[in-house]
Amino acid sequence: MKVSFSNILMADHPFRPLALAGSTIDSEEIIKIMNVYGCLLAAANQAKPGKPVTAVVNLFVLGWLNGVRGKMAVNTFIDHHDHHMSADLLRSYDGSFIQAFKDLIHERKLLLLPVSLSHYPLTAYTAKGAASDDLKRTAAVWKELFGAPPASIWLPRGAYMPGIDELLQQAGCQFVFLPGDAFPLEEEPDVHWMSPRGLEIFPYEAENRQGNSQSAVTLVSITEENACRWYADIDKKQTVRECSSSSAKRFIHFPLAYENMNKGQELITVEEIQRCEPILYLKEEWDEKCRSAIYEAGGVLDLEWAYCIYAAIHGFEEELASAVDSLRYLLDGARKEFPDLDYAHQRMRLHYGVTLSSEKPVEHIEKMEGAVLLLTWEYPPNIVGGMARHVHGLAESLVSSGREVIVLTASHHESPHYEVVKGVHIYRTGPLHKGERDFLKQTSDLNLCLFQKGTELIREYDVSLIHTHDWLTGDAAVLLAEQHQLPLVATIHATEHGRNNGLHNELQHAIASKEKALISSSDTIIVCSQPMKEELRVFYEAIEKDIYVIPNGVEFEERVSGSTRFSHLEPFIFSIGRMVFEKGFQTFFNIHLKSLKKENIQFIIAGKGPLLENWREEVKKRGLEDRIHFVGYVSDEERKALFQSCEAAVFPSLYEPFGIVALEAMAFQKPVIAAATGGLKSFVLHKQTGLLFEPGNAEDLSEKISAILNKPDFAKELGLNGHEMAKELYSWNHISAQTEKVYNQTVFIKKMEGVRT
Amino acid sequence: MIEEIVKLRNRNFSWDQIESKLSIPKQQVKQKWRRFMTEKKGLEVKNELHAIFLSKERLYCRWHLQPRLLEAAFYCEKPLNPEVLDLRIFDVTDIYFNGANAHSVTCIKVTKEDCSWVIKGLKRNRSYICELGYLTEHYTFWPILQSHPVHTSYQRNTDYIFKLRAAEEFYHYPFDAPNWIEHPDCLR
Repeated sequence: MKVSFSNILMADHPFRPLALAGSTIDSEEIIKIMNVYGCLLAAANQAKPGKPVTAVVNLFVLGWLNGVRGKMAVNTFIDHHDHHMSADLLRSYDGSFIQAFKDLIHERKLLLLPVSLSHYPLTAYTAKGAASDDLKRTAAVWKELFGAPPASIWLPRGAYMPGIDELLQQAGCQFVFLPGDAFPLEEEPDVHWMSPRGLEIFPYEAENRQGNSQSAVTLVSITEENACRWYADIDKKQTVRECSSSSAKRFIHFPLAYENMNKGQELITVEEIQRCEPILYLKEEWDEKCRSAIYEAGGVLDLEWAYCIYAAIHGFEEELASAVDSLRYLLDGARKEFPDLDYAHQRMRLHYGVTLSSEKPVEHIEKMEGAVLLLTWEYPPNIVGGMARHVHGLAESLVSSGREVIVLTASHHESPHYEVVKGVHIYRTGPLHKGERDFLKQTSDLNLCLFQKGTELIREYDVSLIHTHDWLTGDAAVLLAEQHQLPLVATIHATEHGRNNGLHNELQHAIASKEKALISSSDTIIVCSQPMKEELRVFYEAIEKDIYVIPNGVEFEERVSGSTRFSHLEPFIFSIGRMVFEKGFQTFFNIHLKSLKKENIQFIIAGKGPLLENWREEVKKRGLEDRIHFVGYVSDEERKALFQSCEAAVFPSLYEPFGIVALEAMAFQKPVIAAATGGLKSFVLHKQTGLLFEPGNAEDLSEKISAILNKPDFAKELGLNGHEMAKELYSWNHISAQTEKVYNQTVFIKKMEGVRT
Repeated sequence: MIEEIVKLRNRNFSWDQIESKLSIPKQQVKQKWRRFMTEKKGLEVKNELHAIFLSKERLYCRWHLQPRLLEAAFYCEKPLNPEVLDLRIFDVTDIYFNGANAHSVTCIKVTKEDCSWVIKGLKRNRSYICELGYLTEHYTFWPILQSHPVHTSYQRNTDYIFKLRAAEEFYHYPFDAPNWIEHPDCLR
């Protein structure tokens, strides 16, 4: 070790996500975190290179700060607290603590170490391998945040027994801090301690110790109360005790050590163990199969579990209950091979701030080489529905990640037969009879043209995979794949069954059978949502298929055509969801309509469901027909138009694991008012990206609606902030990276099949 | 039905073969199989005994003992009293424990329903192993579960000197197992 230590700052402010969720810029929790971590940042920034500030940090807090939410919260905080000690520095890093820390580490002004993720004493785990996993997971999270394994991992309560040195080395650590109690520091003050496995050991003592401390290092706990005070006299504290290079190296073995052991203090109490025990055993409920069922977010189970233990050992009851719920929900889905991927991703990206994707590969999958041939019936500038934008976004994003992409689509009168736009090769052809009235016939015509052109293209380019979108180009895709022995991926955006809520006429049946043919011939299916996956499995007999959910996320559309059958109701508040009790639409009945400034404001609530008729009757009974409109099902276009023309979007759910629909409202730059529950709470940041109200509390909801209606500027600001967050969460880069993984997987499986036959 | 599926699976029948043999759709076969496997897994809760340090002189013993295993044990050796189990703490410092050579042993009577116990008054710098069992009809101890060994902390922090040589040797020649007790996650 080149650096010598004097003080270690222990940033042991707890991570309490529930206190952070729904927090405002003035909420205590954000201020505390900013004080502790801001202090650390400012102190390190002042340090001299080579004499770094040494600090121990909580990885959950760091991950959260790295997540979409955390960054946004930091940015808003520094905007409003201009004079905060870390404001300038953070501003230059765009609010990213991690980037700032990284640079300071690089400049040797900061030595940052994580506490092992769960904060559970490593000597007290009952489950076999749990201690080792905890350290490995800690290192993996660290590596994702900082690009290298941690130099050391802080042991919770200093608990150490022989063998932990090996586990630390396996996690990539070079040294460890251990409680000074275990070392004869008075007798042998100038010794360089080593574990029998050659791991360097630095004894430390807690700050409050009386008398002359013999250990090289003092542990200073920085809490939000003393953080600023500590920062004020940093120079005094930072007297570095030089560790003379001549000091003797000495191996030391001792059977057990923990903080204050010799003072007779306990390492852990029976109550603590019993509190954690049920959580420890949860771990046995899942295996590699469950993890891979959650696909690229498989690390989420381990992280949720690690947080459960963290919450249990700290006695955070509410946090524990919510984390256990979350883990159970994910696990339940994974066991049925039907996990809520949206939710898993949301937890990873918003809450834990890491992806841990490197943990996943169960089998080594080579990266697909060659080009991908994308078939789509519409592509810009020919835009009819949402598909053109989807394929367009995907194609360009794939190209920017280095993939060769060929788009094959129908001809369009304003566009050339071949062009290259942003690196995407676009070919347009067919149908021959544009005037054909029989829709199916016209589609077949198009497909034959695409097939012919596709055959040419496969000869010309090194095509490795065909990817088609919906049944409209399905026939061509199936034929091309079959004839050229290429893997076929199909993205199903919507189904005929879903569009019409069943199949009612011959055309619909014919289309559905085309859809089925495409699904059965495809090697892999991509859908955009979990319900869609369910629909394919149930109505399209696709149980056997590999179906991947890649959230389409939210579309960032330009304006859609404005007038709808609801235009006469403007101005209105919009809400949408299934008509079931948990969606909380009954809250609307009790809002104070009179207190709303815009007295003519209407409420449009869209969606189908078992309670629709009951609620319509309730509206009649209360005489609110001219204010509250349960309009039932709305088409995609109508939904977009409603989002676009509403004053605000309200989501009153009593229970909502994810709430992607609120993100959709954000994409339309609309202020969102959401019940402070589950998923909604994690991206609707109160007074930043929207407003939160107490679930089921109509009075609170009325206040929040008034706040939006009375302050148009504020409403606009919320809308814009929300838009930023939605964009960050559902970028095309993210979607294309996931799509690439599906490609690799598909090619891999296809190859394996080849081996088998 | 599931018995037949299990039988055929164990004989390496493919899903298709099972489907045609039992004339039930493949989907159902798979579903039944999957459910069976999960249930089976639920039954396989481990029987184990853990010993965790609460402090330098106190140990928390925690065990999971399946009634089935206990029944099996009772079948092999009749218990003196089927309601009472014996938790024993053996001092196994510097020996290969063989059940008969412990330096000392402490016995604690626990009931069949208990699943944990706190042991106090451990001596410093000693190795301990815990066992859960019972007294047989013949008044002899019959063990069922054994814990991982643990070693208590030194009396004085200068005591490391006793193992200094061993620590150095292990550093220079780390191929033999160390001659001290290690964390259970450290596989040797």
